Amino acid sequence: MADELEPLGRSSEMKANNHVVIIGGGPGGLAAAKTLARKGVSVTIIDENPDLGGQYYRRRTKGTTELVGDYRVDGTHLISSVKKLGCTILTDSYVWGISNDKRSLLVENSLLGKSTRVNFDFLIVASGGHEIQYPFTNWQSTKVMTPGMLSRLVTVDAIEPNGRRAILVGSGPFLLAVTSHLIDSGVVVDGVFELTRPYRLTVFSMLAVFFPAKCAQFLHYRFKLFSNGVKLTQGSRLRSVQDSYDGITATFDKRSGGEQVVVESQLLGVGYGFKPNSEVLEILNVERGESTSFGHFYPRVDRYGRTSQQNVFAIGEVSGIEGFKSAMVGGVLSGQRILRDIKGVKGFASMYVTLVHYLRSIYEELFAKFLKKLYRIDLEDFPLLDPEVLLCRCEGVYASELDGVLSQCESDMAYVKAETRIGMGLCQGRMCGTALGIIVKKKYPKSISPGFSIRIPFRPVAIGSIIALESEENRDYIDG
Amino acid sequence: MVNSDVIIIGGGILGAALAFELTKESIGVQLIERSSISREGSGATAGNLHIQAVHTRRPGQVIALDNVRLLPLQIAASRLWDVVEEELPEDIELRRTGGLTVAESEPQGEEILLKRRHEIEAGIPGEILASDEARRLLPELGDSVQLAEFCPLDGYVNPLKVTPAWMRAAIRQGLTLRTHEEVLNISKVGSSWIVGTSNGQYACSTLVIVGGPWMDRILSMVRVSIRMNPVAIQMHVTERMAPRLPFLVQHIAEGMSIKQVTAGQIMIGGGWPAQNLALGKTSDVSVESVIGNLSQAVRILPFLRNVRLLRSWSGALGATADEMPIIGEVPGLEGLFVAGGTYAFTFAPLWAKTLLALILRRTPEVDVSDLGVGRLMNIYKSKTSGG
Amino acid sequence: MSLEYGASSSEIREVTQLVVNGKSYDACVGESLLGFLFQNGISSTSVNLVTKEVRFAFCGMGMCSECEMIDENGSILRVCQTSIRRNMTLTSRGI
Repeated sequence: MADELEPLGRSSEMKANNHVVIIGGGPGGLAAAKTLARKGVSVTIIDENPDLGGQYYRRRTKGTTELVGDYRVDGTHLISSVKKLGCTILTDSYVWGISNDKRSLLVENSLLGKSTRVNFDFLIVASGGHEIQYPFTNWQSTKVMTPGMLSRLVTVDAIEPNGRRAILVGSGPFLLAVTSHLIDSGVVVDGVFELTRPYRLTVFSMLAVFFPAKCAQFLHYRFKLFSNGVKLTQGSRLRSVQDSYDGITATFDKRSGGEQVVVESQLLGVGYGFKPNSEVLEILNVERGESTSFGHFYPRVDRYGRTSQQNVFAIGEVSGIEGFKSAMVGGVLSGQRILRDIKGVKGFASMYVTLVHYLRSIYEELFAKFLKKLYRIDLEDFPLLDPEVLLCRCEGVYASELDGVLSQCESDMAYVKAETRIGMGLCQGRMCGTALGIIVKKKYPKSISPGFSIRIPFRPVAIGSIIALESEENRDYIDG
Repeated sequence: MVNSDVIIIGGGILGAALAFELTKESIGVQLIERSSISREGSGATAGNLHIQAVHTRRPGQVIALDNVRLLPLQIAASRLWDVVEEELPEDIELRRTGGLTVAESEPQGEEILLKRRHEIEAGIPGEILASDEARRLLPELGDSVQLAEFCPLDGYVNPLKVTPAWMRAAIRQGLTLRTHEEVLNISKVGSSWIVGTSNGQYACSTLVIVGGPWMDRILSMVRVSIRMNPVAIQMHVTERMAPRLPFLVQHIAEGMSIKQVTAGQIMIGGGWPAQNLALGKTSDVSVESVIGNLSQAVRILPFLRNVRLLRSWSGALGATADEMPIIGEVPGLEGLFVAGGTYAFTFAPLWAKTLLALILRRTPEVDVSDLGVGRLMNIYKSKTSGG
Repeated sequence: MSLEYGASSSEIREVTQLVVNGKSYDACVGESLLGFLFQNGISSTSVNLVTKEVRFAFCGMGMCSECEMIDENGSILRVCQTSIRRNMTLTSRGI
């Protein structure tokens, strides 16, 4: 078959053997790169953004930095040290597929409009995650966006607040962090609406005992909300948003009471935690870890980030543990593990580093598990969609179009996709896939939803860019 | 046990079309499908209606098909598709865009001229176009095109719409549809066929197997082995764009079909092989086939270079060992019929009418005696067990 | 933290003409395009081909495709991943 036709010796500038490719230049990827490169290992970092940093250490543009100064200086230092160590850095580069023999990544450079193959001996997937959405009426409004984007606008892009107002809706600790950023930048926050009910006195006392540092961070956020008069509402379900002349009107269901809450503001940030960017892992047939309530793909990994596939590691958000600190710990551990594989154990210092990070990783995982329990979302927390809700933003499919299809589908999401076109658009189901999974699961509680299957390209890629790979091909089976 | 006159195994396009024809004649039908309807090849196909003669090999296909033999069937199928559109209340997005088959070399041009002669004999309309004429018709054509044939009858149907539409119409006419039921065993008791599934047992006097690539697996339940050559092939679709490509474009010598569908996306196919065939699962799309298929597409239609590929997918094709269609009653097993093989999508309405005639012991409108099951049978035992 | 787009900043930064859907703006080269559009109340990055609704950047991290615009070369770019270049001319995708 086709993969047998692929030449064994591939054309690439990379040196053979022990070349490490890292997908994602966020905190985890950078920590791994630094760990490896300082020991002389050849490292390539691939990142789709114009600069390294990922979402957490997203760089201000040069222009913005000149005007208002740097943002998250520790990130600047980390990035510059990685650059100094001589890693090959492919920014504006997006991994859209993998070769048939699963040994090289297919990477498009969006500035050149060309794809190339990047071969790896070791692969560290540190591709992060993106925010989970659950649709409501008029979520396609231009005034609705993710908390991540709101946060980015006020921090990285340093927009002027100009008296802007916003509300934040969704679930998870990230909402509080974003609220804090918005307050700091001068945006007026008209309310924070958490879907679950995590903020209880018992929770804080547990936090104080077991995770005192994390507790301090929580209390800091909580106090900032309080001192700025920001109301935090728990257990509220967003039903609809209406555009008004200068803003929006958001309507919430009250879960227990039944009376509606109406809030006016200008912008709305919404997100229910994070979904891993797991395409590469899935296409590599990496084994699944524990199943999660949303059916998202998380790999089974050990503490070093090793997956079931040899020499394939997953760290940070994509491995299921949230937070930049644990991503960095994971980066160091995966790097140390690869160093051990390549060079054998060398020296007390290396063992010490590994041990410290190993212990830190256990601590971070415990905390992550605590958070997951705390912000656990049950399927019932999400309302059934009103018929006029746009479910698939890209293909313009409304919830009403699920009528009949849902009862026929026997939990088969591919059937729903084929019948309705949900998930067939430009975002490839990234924005609506989780929601459809929830809707299907509500209808078929016993089903195990595997989500949409992964297709190449992972994101739209120009055909001219794809066929730039042709020169590297053996072309044998065109007849005639 | 639930009885009906006919049981159909397989909820793809052939099963749906046949269920529609049978229920129209007030024949009691149950259709059994192991997953959802139109879930495999019938949903994964490009949905082309091939009326002019087709190229004879997919990329990687070892045995060429006999494209001249298919011509009378293609023109007959073409007439029937017009009826299908009238009969079904839903829009199946049938578009007779007309199709261009292109040649890039002199031998390829001669192949087109030869096939055109056969098409004239079969009564298929068409026109040979020199390169400048072809470019006048379709200015998007690349420089390498030397000769082309235009057939006004070529076109496409939306595969995601037609099978469900046929199925819903059949249900209104009395079809009992059983999805997510897997056939586990088949036996014959007296003159009745008994089908055992994961959910129950059903009896009928006539059993039709239209299981695509699963056909031999199902036939093995009645101890019949036929020579099949199922493969997974792949399809590619671009993002939506403004109308730019009014015709189906194919290649005389290479597996290639390109068209812009009603949603504005451009579908690029041609039977390029996936990495593997994983029946019941997702066969892995081959990157080499993506690159090969898209490279030829850009050669023929250079504007595609700047269009973004949105998605690729694979689907299983129930090809036979000789790459020709298969249709008829299984020799020695009265009341057991099969249909499938090459170009089952184009032939769906024809095979439905033909099976209907064969089941009712009438003479079908097209002669299919040479396309029967016997030619592909390995082992044949005249009596099946009691189960 | 405040940002000046006035005369004082133009002394520091190179100012360029940025045309968005036919309307001309003064913008700083190297500035975040997403930040600029938001700051200037430009809330149309694309028009959905099915619903015909105006859309604006949604995820801010290159995932949702809502912020795709067409530049002067006919290339599609994602606003959220782009810095302002000299003499850019942008059109909403789908118009």
